[in-house]
Parts: sequence; structure tokens; C-alpha cells
Amino acid sequence: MKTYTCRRCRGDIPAYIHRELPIRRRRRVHLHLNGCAACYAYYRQMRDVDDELRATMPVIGVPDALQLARVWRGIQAEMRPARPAYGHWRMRYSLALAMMVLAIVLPWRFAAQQARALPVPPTPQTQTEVTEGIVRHVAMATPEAGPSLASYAPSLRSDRLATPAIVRNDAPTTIATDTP
Amino acid sequence: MYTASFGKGNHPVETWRLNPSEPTLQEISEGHIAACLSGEQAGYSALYELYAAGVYRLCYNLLLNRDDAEDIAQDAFVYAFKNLRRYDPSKAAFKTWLYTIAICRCRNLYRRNRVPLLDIATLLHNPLTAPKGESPEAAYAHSDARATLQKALSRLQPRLREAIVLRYGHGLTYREIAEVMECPAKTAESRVRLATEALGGMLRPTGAHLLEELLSY
Ligand SMILES: [Zn+2]
Repeated sequence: MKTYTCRRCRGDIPAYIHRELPIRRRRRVHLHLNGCAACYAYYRQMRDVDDELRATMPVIGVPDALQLARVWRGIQAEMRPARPAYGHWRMRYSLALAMMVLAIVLPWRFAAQQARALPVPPTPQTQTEVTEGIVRHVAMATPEAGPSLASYAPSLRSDRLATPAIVRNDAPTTIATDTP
Repeated sequence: MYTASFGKGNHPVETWRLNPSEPTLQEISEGHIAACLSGEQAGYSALYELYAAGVYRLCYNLLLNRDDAEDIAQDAFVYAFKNLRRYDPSKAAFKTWLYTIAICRCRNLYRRNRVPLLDIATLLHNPLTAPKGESPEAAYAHSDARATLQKALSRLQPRLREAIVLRYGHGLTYREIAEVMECPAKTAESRVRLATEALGGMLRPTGAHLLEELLSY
């Protein structure tokens, strides 16, 4: 069995004071203290400090109701969901999203409008052909109409922009077939 | 609305340990935690009422300053409440978990401040509130003992201060101290012993002995 030194005894003294040692070790401390004046003095000092700490420590910093209520208010304030910050971010995201939508939609709408506003004018060649076709058509399809209708042909031919609409409405599908 | 019912200074642990037929503090806490997690606001105030005094006192004993103690106690509760889902009852008691959070925050603060900023009342030996029914001599002796101990605590190394405060201020066992301080139980025990020795050297001329002398007249 190892010798029970003063150092080991002093290490056991707090637990000895608090009655937390197993019986065999407790007895060993007891025997050592009976035979060692230095360790006994150390034990007395530690016991006095222990008494003092037990009496004084629990009353240091005891809060009053006002302090605890103040801390509680602080906790409640911090636990509340941060609405302004969330609203701020929500507004930012909404704005960014709206701008993105506009960036996509606006050019598309603008292009569509342009396409509607500017119809492709018929090329002069086509007009001439059509006009000539009508002229021919008018001339060929109405032989019984006689010279009275045929006499209008020069005026139709000269009015190049106005005639296609009239011609398209009246022109039968036989234009192409009739044309040689 | 929360209504405070504090000020008696009794620590709940001792209250529940005295009567074994009643539910333990841990069982009560787990009930409140379950309430919190199911969205009941009353659970938070019940948990606060159970632990507020202890957490505040722990913070004050380590920081020795009222304003800092209030801030850190508030911080610790907010963190604990926001992270209640992370708490695992199989690993530690709620009190130990909460104290670990509080101590962690205290360490951050005194790492920044280096030296504890003692309250002026402590420095001047001037008690802000004297207990009712005490003779002026006894009141002075008590306040003197408190002020002397606070000064002595402020001169201790932070780890020793934590160990002694948890042991004597909060009645934790060496195993519980080890859990809170995240060290082996043997280390916790030797820290308590070293702190007791150091305080013994600082407290000799005043404190309990002065109180005994004054009360014996
Ligand atoms: Zn010895």
C-alpha cells in the first residue's frame, strides 16, 4: 500500500469537508490529520473558508424583481420577429423581380407593336402585276361589259396605291389561272 | 403579460431536492421546453422564472458588474430559447446546458475586458440595499463580507472563479461543474481546491471572523 502523503491528504480535504469521500479514504484523512499538525492547520483554514463561502457566496448578486423584469423585457424584444428588416428585404426583392419582368416583357411588347404598326407595303412589281392582272381580268372576264368598263382601265392603272384594295376584294381566284 | 415573482433569492434546485415526492427541476423544465416547442409562449416565461435568478447571479458572480450581468443573462436566455430544439436532455440537465451558454458568454466578455469592472458600490464597501431587520453592525459586517469576497473573486483567475462560483454559489457537484466548464471532474475538483486556498489567503482579516466578532458583542 502506498504511503498517504501530506500532498495526497490536502488534495482530499475539500471532499472530506463536504463529506463526499468513501469511508476508507475518509478514515485515512482522519488518521493523517490526527498525526500531522501542518495538515490539521491546513484543514482548519480550508474549513473556515468553506464556511465563509457557503454563507456569503449565495447572497452575492441576488437580483431584485425589477432587474429580472428588465432582462425579461429585453428577451421579449429580441425574440420578436424582426418585421422591419423582413419588410425591407421583401420590398427589395419585389422591386428587383418587377424590374426583371419589365426587362423581359417591354422589349417583346415593343417589338410586337412595331410589327403591327408598320405593315409591309406591297412591292411596286407585284402591284403592277396585280394591276395588270386586274386590267386583264377586267378586260378578259367581262367581254359582255363592252368598252364602257374597258375604258376605265387606264385610270386604274395610273392609281397604283388605291387600286390593290379594290382589286383584292373583287378579284376572283381565277387571276393566276387566267394569267398566261 | 409576464409577471415577475422573484426576489426571495432561493435557488430552485435546493427547493426541489428537499422534497423527493415532487417532480425534479429537470422534469419541470422538460415540460416547459415541450410547451415552448409546441408554440406556447407561456413555456418561455415559465422557464425564465425557473432559471432567471440563478443565471443572473452566475453572470454577476463572474463579471461582478450589474449591467454586464443583465446583458449576458439576457443574451444567454435569447440564445437558449432560439436553440431549444438543439437541447438534448439525454446529454445534460437543462440547468447545466443553460449555465454552459451563460459561462461561454461571460468568458467572451472578460476576455475582452481582461479585468472585471467591479460595481462602484462594491469598491466603496457601500451596500445599495441592506437586508431588513438587521442591526447596522450586522448589516455592515454582511455587506463588508460580501464586498471583500467580491474583491477577492475579482482577483482570482477566471477558471478558478468559475469553479468556486459554481460550487458555492450554485451548489453544483464536481461532475456538474466539469460538464459546465467542459473539463474532467478531477480538474474541476482541483480548481475548486485551488480557488479555496487562494481565497483563504485573501479573506483572512475580514469576512466571517469579523462578523462573528461583531455579533458576539
Ligand atoms: Zn500532513
